[in-house]
Amino acid sequence: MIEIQGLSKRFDDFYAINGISATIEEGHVFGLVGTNGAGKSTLLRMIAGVLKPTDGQVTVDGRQVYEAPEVKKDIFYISDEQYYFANSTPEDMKNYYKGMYEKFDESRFNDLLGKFGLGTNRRINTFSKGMKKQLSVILGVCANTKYLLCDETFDGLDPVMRQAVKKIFIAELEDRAMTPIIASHNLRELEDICDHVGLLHQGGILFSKDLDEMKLGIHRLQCVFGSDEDKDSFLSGLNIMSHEERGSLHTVTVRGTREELEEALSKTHTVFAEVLPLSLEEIFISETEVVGYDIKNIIA
Amino acid sequence: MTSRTLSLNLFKGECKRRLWLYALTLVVFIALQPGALLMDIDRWLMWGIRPAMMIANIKGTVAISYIGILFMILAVIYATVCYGYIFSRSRVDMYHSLPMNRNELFVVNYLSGLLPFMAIELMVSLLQMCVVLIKGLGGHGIGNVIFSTYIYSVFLFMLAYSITILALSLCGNPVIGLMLSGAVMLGYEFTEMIISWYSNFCFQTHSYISSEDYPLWKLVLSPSSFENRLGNTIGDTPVRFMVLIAVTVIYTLLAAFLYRIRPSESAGKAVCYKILQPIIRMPLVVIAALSGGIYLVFVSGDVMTAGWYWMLFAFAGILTHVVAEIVLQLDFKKAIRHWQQLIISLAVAAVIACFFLYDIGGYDRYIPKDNKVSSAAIALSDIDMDISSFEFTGRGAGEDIEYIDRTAYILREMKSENNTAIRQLASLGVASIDPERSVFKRIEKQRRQEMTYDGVYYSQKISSESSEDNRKLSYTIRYDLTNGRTVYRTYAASLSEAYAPAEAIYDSAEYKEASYQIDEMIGKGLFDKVTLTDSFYDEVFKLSGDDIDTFLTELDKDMKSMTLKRIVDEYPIYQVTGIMKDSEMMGYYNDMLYGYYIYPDYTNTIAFLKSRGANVDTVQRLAPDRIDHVEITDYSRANDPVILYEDIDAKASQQFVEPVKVMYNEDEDKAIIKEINDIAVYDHFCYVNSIFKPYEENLDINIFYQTDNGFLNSVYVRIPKGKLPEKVRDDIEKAYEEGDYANNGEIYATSTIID
Repeated sequence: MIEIQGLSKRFDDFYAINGISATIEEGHVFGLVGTNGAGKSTLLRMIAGVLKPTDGQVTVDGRQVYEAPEVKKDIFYISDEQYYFANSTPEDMKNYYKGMYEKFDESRFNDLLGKFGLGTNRRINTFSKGMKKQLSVILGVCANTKYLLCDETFDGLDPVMRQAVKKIFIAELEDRAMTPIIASHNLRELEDICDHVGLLHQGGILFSKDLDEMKLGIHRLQCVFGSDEDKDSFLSGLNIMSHEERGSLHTVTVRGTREELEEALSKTHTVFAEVLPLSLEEIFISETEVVGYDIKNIIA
Repeated sequence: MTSRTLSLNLFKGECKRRLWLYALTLVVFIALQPGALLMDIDRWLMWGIRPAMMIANIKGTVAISYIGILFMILAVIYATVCYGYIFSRSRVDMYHSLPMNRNELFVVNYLSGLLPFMAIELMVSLLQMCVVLIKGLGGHGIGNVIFSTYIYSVFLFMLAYSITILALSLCGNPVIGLMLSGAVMLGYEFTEMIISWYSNFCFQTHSYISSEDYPLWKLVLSPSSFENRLGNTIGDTPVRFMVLIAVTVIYTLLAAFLYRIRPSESAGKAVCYKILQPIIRMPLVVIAALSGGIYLVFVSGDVMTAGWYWMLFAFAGILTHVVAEIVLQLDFKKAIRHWQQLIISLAVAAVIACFFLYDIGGYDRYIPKDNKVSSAAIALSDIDMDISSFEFTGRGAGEDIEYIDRTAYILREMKSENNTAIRQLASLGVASIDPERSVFKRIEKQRRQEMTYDGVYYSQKISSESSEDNRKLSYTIRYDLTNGRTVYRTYAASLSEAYAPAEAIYDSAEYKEASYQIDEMIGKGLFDKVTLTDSFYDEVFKLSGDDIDTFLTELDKDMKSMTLKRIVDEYPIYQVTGIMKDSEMMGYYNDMLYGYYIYPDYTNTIAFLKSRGANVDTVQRLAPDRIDHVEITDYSRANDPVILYEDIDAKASQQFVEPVKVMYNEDEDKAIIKEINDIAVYDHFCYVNSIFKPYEENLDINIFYQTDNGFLNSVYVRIPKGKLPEKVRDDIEKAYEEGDYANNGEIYATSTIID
């Protein structure tokens, strides 16, 4: 488990991260979302032990990360601009990381390399951006560390490769309870892989929630009420997050379980009522509007 | 996998990636060391140099002195390659996310630069040894020299390596890192140079002799001069190694510490810590302002004015501040952001400058109190100027002799506790300086005087009476103060006033002991032969073998009993020349005895020479029957102005007058020729201690004579002041009246602008 308590990081006169607290459970895929400059990379670099926190602490399995080689053995960090040695090949990088990570799986590396169609002895500086990203993911997965930090790793991958990588992650999750932490500014990308999401904005964490819990706890209802009295009695009994009215059609976002919503509906006379599924983006928008942020300006 | 295994794996990987650097180093070193040695040995063998000389040459070649700078440059390159990753964010992410801590990373990178260098240099040293052995020159301590040079070179490399890492760790940008590295290695040296420029330019009594007592703490501030300075002060001793090791350890630990605390996010910034910016910028502005101000001195010192100085001062300071600001902030728009720091820097520089320019601290007037002086020394610069001072070092290429500045040597060797005469000379010196403190006003005064001279050619008619005595005696004084400091001052005082204390000093045994090194040459077998030459540069006698040492012993006795009065009254009769062994083979002439003369009352020396058959009784002069004619050219009234003026702004026409020539032929003027010949001091010995020998001025006297081969040759002579025969004076006057000009009788006139 990764625990972040009151974590802050200051660069000169500004705070890139300011008082963040969060918990990342093992065996879950944690998505870190936010715009450019939100502090995603900074947070990941602190978890990886690259940056020293200004305040607060980040612990991995109860131990501080910074300058702790024993802790860092369990972490592999894929940077947004992954570095490869000049004129090196995937074989060279494999040998390098094999020397650094005790559990590096060489055979799996060669296997994945083949599946992705990357030449073992081809110079990496001839790879495209997407191919370099693929290589970095393969190296990270084959390092067999407990935690895999991915900074905007899915950016630059084509949709097919993105799906392939997701499958690999899922397989690793199932096989050895690997815990990926994926930072991205693209919410839609994270939706189908992450089970826990944190939203970063201007150095602070707006919220960090389990995705299913989020989805189960918020619903959207479109309905037409029989009368105004029906409308008032229905709305007054619920935790309304947002309410939009177009003619007689009401679109209401309600916090609560589906059962609670259906029970409320059964007590009210409605001409038409339908519970609609909410996307992650819509959930985010609703959640953040409550706190006063116009999320549409934050996420892509 | 233990951390040691990880470190080893990383070390192997890093070394593998730097093979190109090691290969390049090996190639260069092989060429410069065993390759060059092989070529040198072949050349010496071809010349037929004797083995002992060969051994000395080899030792000099394998010694580090001339190649030390290469090791330091290489160290900078290695440090940049091994630690350059800290400037790239992506590389920092890769290295610092590895399961290693900073200490382990530091050690791995440090060793991946140091160990290969050590291996390469060891290989090269062994190759050098092989070259020597193959050529049949093994033994004689060459192996020891190669080995000690190897150890020394490793630590010298480490020193520069650690300093560069230290500098790189403080910066986020390799260019600034390398500049900071250069500043650490050379900054102190450069600052000392600035101070030296200012002292030399502004202070009238500044001595070029700097203290040879180089405190060890200075070595920490001036690593680049480490090898040279330390070698000069304490020579090849174990202390030298220990000091180098200690300084290297200090810098290495400091580098490790700074690397460890360096924030990873510094990659790409100018400097890691904001506080460094003023620390770098402000001293830079101070030094730049001081350098800019004094720049004009090098271009044309005599046009330096206060206006020019302060203008260049301000320009250099401001420009440096702006450039530094742009580089450190990485933003043109912030060029004068810290203008307050600029003002402070310029103010500090101005205070420093004023200290020199206006002698605020009283440098020129400083004479330490008697109770503050533990000992003193003085070098009378105008006496025996031609004599060289030297040291036997065992390190020099060839003769193991290092020539050193004579004044510095005397000051070092002499320690006088009886300071009365020295203090007298110090007081005289202070009284003789220009009372004007401002260097600009002194320059202006001098410029006016020169222009005045240029506009006014004072008539210096020859006279039987001595003109006002303008001769000045120069001397340098060293004070060893009770607080451990050493102070030097150079003065020039009127000879007539300084003579008495100078005589007391020169006549003392301690001065002679410091001044003459004949005794050090005895018994060393330095010379192939020693010759005596006369005033015509003809060799009149030669000594060799054991006679040389005996001769030197007698000469030493006579020189140690010499007095200043005898130097004033007498002229030398012979010059001593010592041809060192293998000089001719080496293709150059090396004479350690240059500047030593024999005077008429060197009784011991002359007695010994006579015992060996030399005829050394008389002063060598031209035989009168060989003289063909004498030509005397008088320049005393050349450029005599029609109008005499002192104001340089006043202008007048001038008529230039040619020098006149008077000739005496052997046929008609035998008597006067003999008279001139009897009193003339011949070219060769005219200039020996000439400060004490006033001559008739502006007379060019050449005696033409028949050589043994029947050719006509001439020798330049001078006549002591006041001894010019009356007939010659009269003939010169007549020549002016009759217009017997030297240059074919042509007279030319010119005029300047007339107001």
